Amino acid sequence: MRPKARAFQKDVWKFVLYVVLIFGALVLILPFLWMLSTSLKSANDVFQIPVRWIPARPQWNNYPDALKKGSMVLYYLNSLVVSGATVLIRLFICTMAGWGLAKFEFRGRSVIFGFILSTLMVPFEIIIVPLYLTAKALGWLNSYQGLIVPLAVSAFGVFIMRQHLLSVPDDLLNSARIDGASEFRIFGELAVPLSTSALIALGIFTFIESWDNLLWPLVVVSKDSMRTIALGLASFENAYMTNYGQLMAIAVIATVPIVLAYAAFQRYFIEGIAMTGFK
Amino acid sequence: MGSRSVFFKRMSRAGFFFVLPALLFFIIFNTYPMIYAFWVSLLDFDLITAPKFVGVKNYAFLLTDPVFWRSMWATAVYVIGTNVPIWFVSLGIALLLNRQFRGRGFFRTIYFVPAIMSLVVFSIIWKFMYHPYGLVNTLLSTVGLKKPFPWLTSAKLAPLAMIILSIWKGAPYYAVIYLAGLETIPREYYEAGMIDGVNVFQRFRHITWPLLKPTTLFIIVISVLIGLRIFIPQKVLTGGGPAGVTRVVTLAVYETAFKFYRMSLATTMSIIMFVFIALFSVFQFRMFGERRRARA
Repeated sequence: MRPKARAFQKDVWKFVLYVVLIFGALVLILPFLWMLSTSLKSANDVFQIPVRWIPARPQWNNYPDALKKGSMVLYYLNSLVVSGATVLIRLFICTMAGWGLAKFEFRGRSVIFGFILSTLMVPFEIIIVPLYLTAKALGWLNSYQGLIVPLAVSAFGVFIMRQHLLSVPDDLLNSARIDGASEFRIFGELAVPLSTSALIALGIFTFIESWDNLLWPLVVVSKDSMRTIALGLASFENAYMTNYGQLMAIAVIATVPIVLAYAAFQRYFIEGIAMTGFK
Repeated sequence: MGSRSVFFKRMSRAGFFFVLPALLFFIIFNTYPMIYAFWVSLLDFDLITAPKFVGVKNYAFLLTDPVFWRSMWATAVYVIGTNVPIWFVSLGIALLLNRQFRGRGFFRTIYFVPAIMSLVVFSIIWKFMYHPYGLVNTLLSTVGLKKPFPWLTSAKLAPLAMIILSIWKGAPYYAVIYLAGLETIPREYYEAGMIDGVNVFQRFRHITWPLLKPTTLFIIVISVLIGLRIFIPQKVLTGGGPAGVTRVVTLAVYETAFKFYRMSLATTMSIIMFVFIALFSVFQFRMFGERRRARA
């Protein structure tokens, strides 16, 4: 009797657990599902009551129609260029700096490391005006370099790469040196391959951050042809306000690459976020 | 002896060259702009007329400017209103997803979707959901709250609308960090607890909570720092309105500089904000420092 009651109690707990889990999942995924659902609705149906999650007549042409408005395809390509270049530059420079700080003794090393960390105190929102004035003086307004370079390197990235590279054994380095390899070759053949997982996580984190940046493109871009997708979405949102189906179709298109990448490389996404915490 | 010192010289030079690009970057795009910002804050500079040195006039003006204080207040309401619930909800989600059950990977995938979604997209979806006839009001009416709430046009509701959206997006994000923290707790502690026959609440109170303390502190600091810089939801959903109740400081800086071209005033706002960010950053450094020692 007793073990039976125990088993029953366990089943009840399990049931409660799954109810809570499913409820939480539905709540959290709701905005995402609503975006997908609305992206297939006609302008007349978006405020339909009662709520229909699966449209009676899916309007697939919302997608091509929305893309024809404005220059969404161009914005999309701009975002790919900007985010892609930001990732490459950041990974390269942060890994180099992390390697130098982790594996070399030189005068001023800890001062430099402290200085780099101290720049975390000055997020770019604080220096947005001088950055704009600098970009303007350099003739970088409405250009890729203007969008990319001022946010290309992050102190956080340097910190992460340094922490990661500290674990490379010195013996490995020294034996490569004795073999006569150049420092740059050692960097390419030791540091880079040994930090693949950190590089992927930092890369994904950087890509999302860059893809989602709104403030800097707003400041540095005034020409339509240089808009990123975040900027295009935010500033053309009013133009679509008459047609929520099309607006959501654009939102889906802007979200899909990130969600697909997330589905494929979930582990690295999680690591990328957790890295901001403890790693 | 000689070749040894040549070896070290080469190494030390190489080390410096590896760090140099990053170092130059931070000097050009962080330190220099910060110094430049201090200088601009002492000027009267509007991009049109010639800059004029005015000393601390901008500071004096802002410190007594009700519009600026409203922005500070809007930021404070946002930071506290969003983050306090997030600390609890994210821990709850992490504890839930840390349990052993079938389908855990699947549930984790779903739960973290808001965390990886673009905040711009997320904000646009919510703007649509907050529409007077949108999903939020429709769902509320099914539970009896019939009258359509003017989420984005009422001075009472708009700050709350920003907060709800941000908890929705932020809680899963911080839950990921909490989960990483939970995974560092050695299993043996729980096994020892089992032998001693502690219940769920004792286990949380005496094992999980104390060992999660560094993670909790980290989340508190980082969430406040991120909250102080918030911009996207307010820009997309309300544009700072109604009557400035959601005009957070970053949005105020942006508008002052790039809509009204009052560069000096905007920069001065940034510097006042910087004081708060710097205060919280000190905590952050301390934690970085602890991790550095722990690793080294």
